[in-house]
This record gives sequence, structure tokens and C-alpha cells, in this order.
Amino acid sequence: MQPHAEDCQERLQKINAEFEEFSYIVSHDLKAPVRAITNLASWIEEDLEGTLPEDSQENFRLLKNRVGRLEKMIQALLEFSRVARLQLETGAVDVKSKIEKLAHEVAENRELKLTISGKIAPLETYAEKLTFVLGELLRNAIFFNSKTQPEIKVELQENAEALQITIADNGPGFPETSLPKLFTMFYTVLPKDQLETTGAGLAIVNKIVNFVGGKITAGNHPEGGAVFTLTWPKKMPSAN
Amino acid sequence: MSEKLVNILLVEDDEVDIMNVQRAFKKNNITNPLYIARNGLEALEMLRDKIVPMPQIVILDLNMPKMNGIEFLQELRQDPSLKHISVFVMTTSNEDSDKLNAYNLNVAGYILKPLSFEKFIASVATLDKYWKLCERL
Repeated sequence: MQPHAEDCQERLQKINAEFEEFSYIVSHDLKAPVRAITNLASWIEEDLEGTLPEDSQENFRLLKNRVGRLEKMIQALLEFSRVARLQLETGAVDVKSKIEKLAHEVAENRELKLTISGKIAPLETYAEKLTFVLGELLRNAIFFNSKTQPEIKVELQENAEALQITIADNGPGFPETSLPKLFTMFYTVLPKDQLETTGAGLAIVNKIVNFVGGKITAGNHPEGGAVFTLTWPKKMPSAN
Repeated sequence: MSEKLVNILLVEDDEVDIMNVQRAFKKNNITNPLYIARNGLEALEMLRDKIVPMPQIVILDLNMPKMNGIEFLQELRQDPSLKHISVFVMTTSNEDSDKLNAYNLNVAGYILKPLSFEKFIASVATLDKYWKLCERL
């Protein structure tokens, strides 16, 4: 490596480390006042019960909803900051059965049609990280899908270096303009008031995939629905 | 049995968190005397000077100025007259290292401060069951 490149590499690592620490501390310290606001709001509401005019009740509902949202965003920031620091234990993963199990969990009580084609041999990898990524992609395929029976088609492939997993659904797909922003922290396609979600899941997914040296892309299927293509390397980078 | 109510020492620096415990006590009709220390040093003093009468149970926050929760636990466990005291950690920290440190110092429980007051009341109700058992011993 050229001396200049080495220098850049070192500076980049330092900036990365500072960023991790910053988001970690901020998220931790921010949690306490948020919890206090939640408590105080519910106590005031409780103490004034029966005397509050309707619009004040509505304002309390909004206040609590927004504080709840803030708390979730802080939690997401915390998870985002932890990607390179936590859950670095490796374990064996059987991708097919993992997907079946996760799809069942995220579908909750909704009827789901899941088809999995192709095959991936069980592998040793960052098991919790891969589980999070698969879980988020499956959750996206179901959560934003208003069909009575959401359909998910998963294709599994592997070569010597990496796994390739394609997850397609029969949901609404993405507006073309939102595609470049999908992996941005807190970005949501629909207004947050319309569909309560933090917009952090895919940003964390993207960070994990980058961390392991893989790749993720999102797009629309020609016949409708969203498609995510995940490339996950077989060899894991060591933690820094 | 009721004449031997357990005395609770809450070690907590946040005013709203103190109010939280007080309100949760009221909601659960808990009448045990509640003492408050704002940091680990103050708590040790209150226990050593018998400001909190026996029997005592401690509810401990971890992140505090002066002496934090883990430092307090280390001191407590080294003091022959105090080391038997049951301590429940009540914190926002979900860090494995904090949990491990606390359990290594023989805490009776590790409670994550829940965001909602309703959940907190439920946590305190569980604590109440525990110290009712202590009162019967």
C-alpha cells in the first residue's frame, strides 16, 4: 500500500471509531430525558383525567405518539452504531430453514405464501447479523403489503465466495424516486403518520451488509412488487 | 408480620425517576418506607449510619455521578456489616458488561427501566412480592 493510502486508511478508521462512539453515547444519554417526558406526560394526563377538553386529549395522544417515535428512533440509532461492535460471534446458519422460521415470525397471524427455490449449504457466519438482515427484508415484504395473502419468492444461490439471496414480494413495490433513498436512515416511503415505522430497518441492514463486505440492492419486479438482492460473503471480516 | 416492613433505599440521581418509583409505590399500595440517596456515596453513608433501619433492600441505578452503581456494589460487598443486603439494579443500561458486573456482585435482580409507566408499575409489583417474602423470614 502507498504511504498516502495507508495514512488515509488510518484516518478513516479513526473517524469511523469516533462516529461509532458518538452515536453510542448520544443514544444512551438521550434515552433518559425521553423516558422522563413520557412519564411526566402520562402523569399530567392521569392527574387531569375527566377534566381535559377533547382537543387537549388529542394533543396528549399526539405528544405520547411523538415521544414514542423519538424513543424508537434513538433505539434505532443505537442499533445502527452497534453494527461493527456487537454480535460478532459466528455460528452455523441453515439459510433455508432460517428464512422459513423468520417469515413465519414476521407474518404474525397473516396468511403467507412463501416459496423458496435453490439451495445454500449451511455455513459459519455472523449468525445474528444475517438473521437481522433476512428478518428485516422479510418484514418489509410483508409489512408494506396490503394483499390478503402476501407472497414472497426467495431464490437461493451460492458460489465459492458468496451467497446470493433474492427476496421478491407481491406488494406495492417502490416509487422510482424513492429507490436511491431506501437505505437512508429514517427514510420512509409513506408519511410516518400514515404508517407507523421508523425507517431505520433498511439503513441498519445496509450498514451490516457493508460491514461484512457484501452488497444489497433494491428494485421493482417487472410484474410488480419489490425485489431485494443480497450478496453475503462466505468469509467474514475480522472485527476491528 | 407487618411490624417488620422492609425499608427500601432508592439510589437514584434523576428527579423524575425518583417520582416514578414513588408513584409506582402508590399505585401498588406499597407502604414500605422509601429512603432516597442521590449517589453511591450518599447511599453507603445512609446504610452505615443506620439512617435506613434494618431490614434493608436497595434499588440501584447504575449511571450516577460521584459513585456509580457498580462502584457502590463493590464497596457494599466488601463491608462485612452491609454485604448481606439484597440489591436490585434498575437501569436504562442494557449492556452485557453492566449486567455481568452486577451479577458478579450478587445482585438479586436486574430491571431495565421500561419506557412506559404501566410496565414500571408491573415491575415494582414484582419487587413488592419479593420483599413481602423477605418480611416473612
